[in-house]
Amino acid sequence: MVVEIIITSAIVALAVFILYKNIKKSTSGQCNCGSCSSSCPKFSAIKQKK
Amino acid sequence: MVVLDSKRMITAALIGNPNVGKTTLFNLLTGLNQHVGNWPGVTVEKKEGFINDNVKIVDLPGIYAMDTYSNEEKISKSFLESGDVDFILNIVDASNLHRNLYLTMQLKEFNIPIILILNMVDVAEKKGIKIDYGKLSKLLDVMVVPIVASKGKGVDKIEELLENDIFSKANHDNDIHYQNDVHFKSEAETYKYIEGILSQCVTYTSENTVTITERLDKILINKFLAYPIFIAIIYLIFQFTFSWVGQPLADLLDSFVNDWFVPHINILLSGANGWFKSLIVDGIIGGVGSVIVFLPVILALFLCISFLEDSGYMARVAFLMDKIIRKMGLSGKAFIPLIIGFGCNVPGVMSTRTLESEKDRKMTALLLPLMSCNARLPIYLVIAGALFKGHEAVVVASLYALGVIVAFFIGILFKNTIFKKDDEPFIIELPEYKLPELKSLALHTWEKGKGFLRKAGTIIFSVSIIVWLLSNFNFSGMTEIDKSFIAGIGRFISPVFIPLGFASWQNSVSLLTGIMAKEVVVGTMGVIYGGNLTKILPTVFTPISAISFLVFVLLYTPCISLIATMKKEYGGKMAMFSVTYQLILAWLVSFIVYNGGNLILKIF
Repeated sequence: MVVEIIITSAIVALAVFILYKNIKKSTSGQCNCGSCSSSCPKFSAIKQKK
Repeated sequence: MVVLDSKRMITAALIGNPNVGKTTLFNLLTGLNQHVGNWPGVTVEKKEGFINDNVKIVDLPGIYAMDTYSNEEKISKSFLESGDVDFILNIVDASNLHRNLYLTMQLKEFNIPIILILNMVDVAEKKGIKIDYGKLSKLLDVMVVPIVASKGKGVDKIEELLENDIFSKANHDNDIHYQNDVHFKSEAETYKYIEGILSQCVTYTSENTVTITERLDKILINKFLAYPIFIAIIYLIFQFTFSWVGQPLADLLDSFVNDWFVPHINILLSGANGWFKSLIVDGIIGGVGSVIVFLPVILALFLCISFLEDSGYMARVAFLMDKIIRKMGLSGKAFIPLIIGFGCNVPGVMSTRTLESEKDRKMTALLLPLMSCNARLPIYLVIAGALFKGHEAVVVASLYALGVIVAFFIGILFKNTIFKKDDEPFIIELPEYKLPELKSLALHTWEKGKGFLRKAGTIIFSVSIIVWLLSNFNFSGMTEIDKSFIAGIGRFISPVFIPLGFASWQNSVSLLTGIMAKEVVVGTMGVIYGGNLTKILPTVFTPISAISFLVFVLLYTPCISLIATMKKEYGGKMAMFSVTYQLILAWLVSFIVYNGGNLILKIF
C-alpha cells in the first residue's frame, strides 16, 4: 500500500510538472504540434552542432 | 572594404530566391536539420547555424527582390543593413539565371562581399544551358561556385572557402571584389544589364529543350485534367492511409494494446489495490493507449504529404487553388499557410507572415483553424472506427472537405464585411519535379512519428492522469465516477450541447480538455469511458450525434497553443475574436447537422 501511494504520488507529481511546462510553453506562443507538415516554417531552437 | 578580425565570429548571410535550395545548402553547411520543402515559403524567419567556431551562417527567407513589401523582404533587408553581415552567400538557380540575378544586382548595392552559388547546375545542363563560370565571375565581379545541393556536389568547395577564412585573406590578395560599380535607375535597366552579361557567358543548346517537368506540367496543370488529377491524388492518399496501409496497421496495434498488453498488465497487477490498478490501466494505458494506436495512420498520411511536397507537386496545387482562394478574398499565396495548417495550425498562423497585405494575413489566420489539423485525426478515427466501420476514409475525407467548404464561405463573408480589399497578384515559383529520396521521406515521416510519440508521452500522459484523478475523487475522497469532480464539471457545461445531440457529461469534459491539445479528447474519453472505445462509443452516440460531435471537433476553439500564437502574432482582440467566432460557428454547424440529419431521417 505504501509503495503504491509513493508511486502514485510520483506519477501525479510528474503529470502536474509536465502539464505545467506544457501550458507555460503553449501560452508563450511556442509550437506544440507533435506532427506538423514537413514544410513547417517554425524552427526549433538552433543548436551549435560543430 | 570590410576588414575582418580573424579571431571574431564571421557572419555569412545565405540569401536567394524562394525554392532555390537555401535550406538544403544551410543544412549541408551547418549539419543542422531544418525542414526543407520543394516549394516556396519554407523559410519564414532567419535561422542560424555554424560552420565552425569562427563562421556563422544565417539562412534568410527566400525573396525575389528588395523593393516590395513582404515581411520576408523586410527581414532580409534589415539584416543586411544591420552591419552584422560580413559576406553574402547568394544562392541562385543555375537554370534560371535571368530572373535570379536581379536579386544579385540589388545585393551588390549593399557593398558586402558576395559568393555567388550556382545551384542545380545539373538541371541547367539537362535543359541545355551551358555556363562559363569563369566569365560570369569576371563579369559580375564576384566569386562563382557551381553546386548541386541536393546531391551535396560542390558544397565542399564552399566549406573550404569558408573554413579557410578566404574573406580575411581576400583583403590582402584581392581575390574577391565586392565594390559595387553599377547602379540602376529601373527594373528594365537592370534586366538589360543582366541580359548583356548572360549573352557573353551562357549558351543554349537545342537538345533537351522540353524537360520532364515541362512534359509533366502539360498534364498536371492542364486546364481540363488538373482538377480531376488532384482529386484522384487525394483519393489515393486517403486510400493508402485508411484502407491499404495506415488503418490496418493501426488495427493491429489496437489489438496488441487491448488484447495482449492490457490483459498482461492486469495479470501483473493482480495483487495490487483496485485504485492503483485503475490508475495504471484506465488512467495511463486507457488515456495514452487510445491515442497511440493511431501512430501508423499519422505516419502513412505524412509519408504521402512529404512525397507530394518533395516531388514539387504541392506548388502546382497552390497554383491550381489560386482561383478558388481568390474568390474567398485571399491572394493565392495564402494557400501555403492554409496547407501548412492541415499539419498543424500553429506554424500555419506563423507562416501568414509571408503574406504581403495586413488584411490577407489576418484573414488567413482567422480561416486557418478551420483547416483540419493532424491532431484532430485520432478523434475522427476513433469515432468513425466505432460507428462507421469500413467507411472511415469517407467520414474523414468529408470532414476535411467540410473544413475547406466552411472556410470558403466564411472567407466570402469576411471579404464582404470586415476585410474589404482589392485583389493582389500572386506569383509562385513552380519548382522542378523531383523523385523524392527515400532517406528524406523516411526522415520526414519519422519526425512526425517522433513528435506524435512525444506528445503522447507528455501532454496526453499528464492530462490522462489528471482526468483519472478528477474522475475518481471528490471533496469527500475517493468516489464513483458519476459523483466525481469531473462529472460535476461535465454536467455544468453539458446543457450547451443538448441541441447538438451529444450532451453527456463525458463528451462535454472531453471537448473541454481538448483545448489543451486536440488528441487529448481521445485520451480523456479513454480514461472516462474506460478502455476499449470501439466497443463503448456505439452505446454513447447515434450515427447522427457522432457526426454532429465530429463537426463540432472540426470547427470549435483551437488548442491553447494556437490561441497563444494568434495573440502573439495579431494581439489579444484578434485571438478572442477567433475563439468566439469559432465556438459560435461550431455550435451552429453542428446544430444544423444534427437537427437537419434527424429531420431527413424522419422524412425518409
